[in-house]
Amino acid sequence: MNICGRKASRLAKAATFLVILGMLLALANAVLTPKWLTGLYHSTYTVTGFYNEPRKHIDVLFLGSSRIECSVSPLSLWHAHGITSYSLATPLQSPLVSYYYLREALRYQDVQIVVIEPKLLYREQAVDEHEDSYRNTLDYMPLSLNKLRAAADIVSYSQSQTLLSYALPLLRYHSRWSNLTAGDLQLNLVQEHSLKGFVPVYTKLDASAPQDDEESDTLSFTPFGEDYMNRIAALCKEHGVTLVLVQPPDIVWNQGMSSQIDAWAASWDLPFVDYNTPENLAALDLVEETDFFHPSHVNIRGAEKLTAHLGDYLAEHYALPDHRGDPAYSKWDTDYAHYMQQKASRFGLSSS
Amino acid sequence: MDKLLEILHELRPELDYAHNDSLIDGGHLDSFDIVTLVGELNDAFDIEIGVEDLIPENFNSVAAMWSLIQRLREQV
Amino acid sequence: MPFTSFAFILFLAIVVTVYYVTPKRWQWVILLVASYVFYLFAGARFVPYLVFTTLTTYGAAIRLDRINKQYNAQLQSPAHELPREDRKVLKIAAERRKKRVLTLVLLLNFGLLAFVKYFNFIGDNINALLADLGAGAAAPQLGLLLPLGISFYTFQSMGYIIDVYRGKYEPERNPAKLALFISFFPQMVQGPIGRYDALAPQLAAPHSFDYERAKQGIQLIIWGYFKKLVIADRAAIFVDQVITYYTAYTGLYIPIAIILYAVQIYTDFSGGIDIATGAAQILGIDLAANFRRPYFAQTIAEYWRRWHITLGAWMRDYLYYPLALSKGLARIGKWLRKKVNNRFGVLFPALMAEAVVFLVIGIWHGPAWKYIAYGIYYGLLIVLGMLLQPLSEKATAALHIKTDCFSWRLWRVLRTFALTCFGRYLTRAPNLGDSYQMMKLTVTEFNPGILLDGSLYTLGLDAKNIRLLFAAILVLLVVSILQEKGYHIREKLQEQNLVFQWAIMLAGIFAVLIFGTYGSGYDATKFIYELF
Repeated sequence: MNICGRKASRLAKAATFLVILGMLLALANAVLTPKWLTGLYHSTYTVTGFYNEPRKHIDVLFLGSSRIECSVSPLSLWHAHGITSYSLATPLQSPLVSYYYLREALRYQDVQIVVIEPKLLYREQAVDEHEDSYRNTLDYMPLSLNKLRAAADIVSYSQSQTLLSYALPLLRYHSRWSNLTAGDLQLNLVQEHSLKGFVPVYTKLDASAPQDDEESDTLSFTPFGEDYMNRIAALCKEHGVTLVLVQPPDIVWNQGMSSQIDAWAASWDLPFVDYNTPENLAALDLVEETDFFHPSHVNIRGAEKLTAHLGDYLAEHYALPDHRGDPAYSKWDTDYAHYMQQKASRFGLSSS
Repeated sequence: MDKLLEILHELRPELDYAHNDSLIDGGHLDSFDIVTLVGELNDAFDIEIGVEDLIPENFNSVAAMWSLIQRLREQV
Repeated sequence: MPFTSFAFILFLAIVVTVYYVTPKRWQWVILLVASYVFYLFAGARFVPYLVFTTLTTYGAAIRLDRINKQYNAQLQSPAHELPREDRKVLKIAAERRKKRVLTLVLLLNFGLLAFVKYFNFIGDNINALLADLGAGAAAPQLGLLLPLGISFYTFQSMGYIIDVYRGKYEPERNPAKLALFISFFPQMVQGPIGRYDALAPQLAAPHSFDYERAKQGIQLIIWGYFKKLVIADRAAIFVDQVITYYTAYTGLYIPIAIILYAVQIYTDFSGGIDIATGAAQILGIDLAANFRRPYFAQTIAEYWRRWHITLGAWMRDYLYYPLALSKGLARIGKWLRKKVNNRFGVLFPALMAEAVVFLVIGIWHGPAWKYIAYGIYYGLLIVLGMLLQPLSEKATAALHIKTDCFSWRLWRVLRTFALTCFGRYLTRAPNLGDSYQMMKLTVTEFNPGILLDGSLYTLGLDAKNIRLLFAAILVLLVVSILQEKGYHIREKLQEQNLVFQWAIMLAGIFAVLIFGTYGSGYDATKFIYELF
């Protein structure tokens, strides 16, 4: 073989080797990355389901912590008003995550209204203490500039994390080799979130449980929370998207926080729907014993009440299209029927 | 030359000096042997083997050692 | 930029790429720039130390050469043949001038090394002494940080200057090339300590990219990471736990930890050397061997010829030989031969030199009494071994012990390993008092039950990790035995089918990536989310 041929064959060999290496790396990543499917919240499905939505189908996006995740049911909103929405709220969501998911939503969808929980203004960065609340949403975000920018932001606050570990998660999770389960080997994860990111909880408040230790003192905004909320507000303004602040009912809440948020909302000229004001609480008609499963989290009954109220508010104030009857959106009807079935069977189960 | 061989045999009787030309490189003589050998050679031939002469090429074979001794004898 | 960082791999990839696209005559400049960039990552304030050593070494070498040239010119001036006596005078004068230059440069550089390395240690001891005498603290303490690799590059450059002094080779006339020899980045942090005549020509020579060499270099790097990340850093978790709380882990725990520490320090050090050697190999440069399976040594002397070989060779050429051949020791030896014992007299200069060498090796390891004790321990072992050799030969002969068989060699290997492990009690313990306590606790409690009841799984490594560590050490053992038998593993691998070669390489890469000990770990309990 002449020198040129040998060079070419070596190049081909090295390239093949690198391709195989890349494929094995992807496999190892998939196996070793946690599936985030334990407990109440299935953040992985929330994320994969979002990317699985047809493009330009979602008009309203919900962002925030588990308070939003448990409070807003996009399918109920569909049934009542024909509004298409998706909840990308995740447990203990950081406004950093909200910001970059907003950017993703703007890439994939033609969002008209973004609903966000203003309590994010009080969030500490806590990138290492609550690393899970970052990883559980970013792990399944496809690799993109947004993902890398989010990771770079996190790393800038972190003592221990590396940018590379977000592109190549096995660098973060490699030591999970010693406690892998059969579930980790199941790689064809469900791609669809039939409830559009909503987490229905069927339990009630346990009266005997110790009271939540959440602060009832008036907190103050954190520089971190304010920074990212300002970026979110600016981004929405830039894209002509309406930003609506919605704070779900919180038994541990105080007037001071409402006024702080009012002031911030005014500075950006944003509407603020505060479900902690006496009028709004009365309008919702929530019953502590039956409609909550946690002092600051409503269960499915509470969620239905809140979604109904919020839906009326959105329909009244904004000209959102009603997609009901459009064959392109027929899947929403199927999903709603499925949701009803699930609800009926769960309630049937709990009453028997 | 006989005196050299005699000293070498006393140092390491088991080595075949006639047919070995990698006494150092082959690890047959270690640094300890070399120091002992140099002391003996200095005495026997009235020469002064310096540190700069302690390179493998000078000690790998009997012939090399002999030429080192000759060279040092000729010097001042 | 430690070898075990992604930054280093990226740095190496960039250097290799730039190196091979650069015109061949400028390749060495790329290495020099890369080496200084590498050094800058460690801290800009350390660069002056490196530059100081480079400049003093360069200047002294040129000066030594000039003295030689002048002397030769005087000798060979054809106009008049000098009488023998005058020649001798000239030679002595030249020798004296050369010695002055050498002494100065050695004092400056070893002085600087001693200053940054031992200043606080000496100050501490002076203060302790003064306190004992009733005086207050007098010696000041400096917050000095040890410049990266200073012990290694100082020895490397001083070896060079001594060789030039001895006339072994011509000095380097290009200061930039000398700077590269002293700072070459793969070996600058932890060796191997290179020799100018072996390394410098390679650094200056043009190199074309060689696919096979690069592949073998990468394989060696992966093997180095395997040793360091899979074995050494995993074993360290266990060892640190036991040694830090040794009073809670008495009896068998301690010797198990010490044996694991022996494995840890070997895999850590030799793994780092493998990474350095592999990196240099990709660049077309062969570094000196630094380890030859030291735990297979049959005697302590042999162990030191297999462990940290380049340091041993440095000590031999620049400390041991000059001392052993010095006139003073020769005179005492001669006197001892006449007055005391012939054999003892013959051995005396070498034994004294050995003792000094090991004391220096002890001091070289670090500023603490435990390292000095460690040096003395090995010095004593070597000296006693030499002196008792005829006795032990007689004993084995009298007892009719077969010495030309595997079991005898195995016994000697185990005996040597045990002796080195004893030395590790001295170095691994925080200080000498703790070493003594650890030795005492090793023999005063007998608890073999811990081997069976799972106690060993509670020391930072769970059962799966202990088994993995065991398997990895087994892989290392098999590879070492094959190497000892003369197999060149990477060359043998080269002869195999492509699929097999790739499978081995991929297995190595993933073993390091998955089983390596790095990152902040994964605490499942912290990650199972039940928060709101």
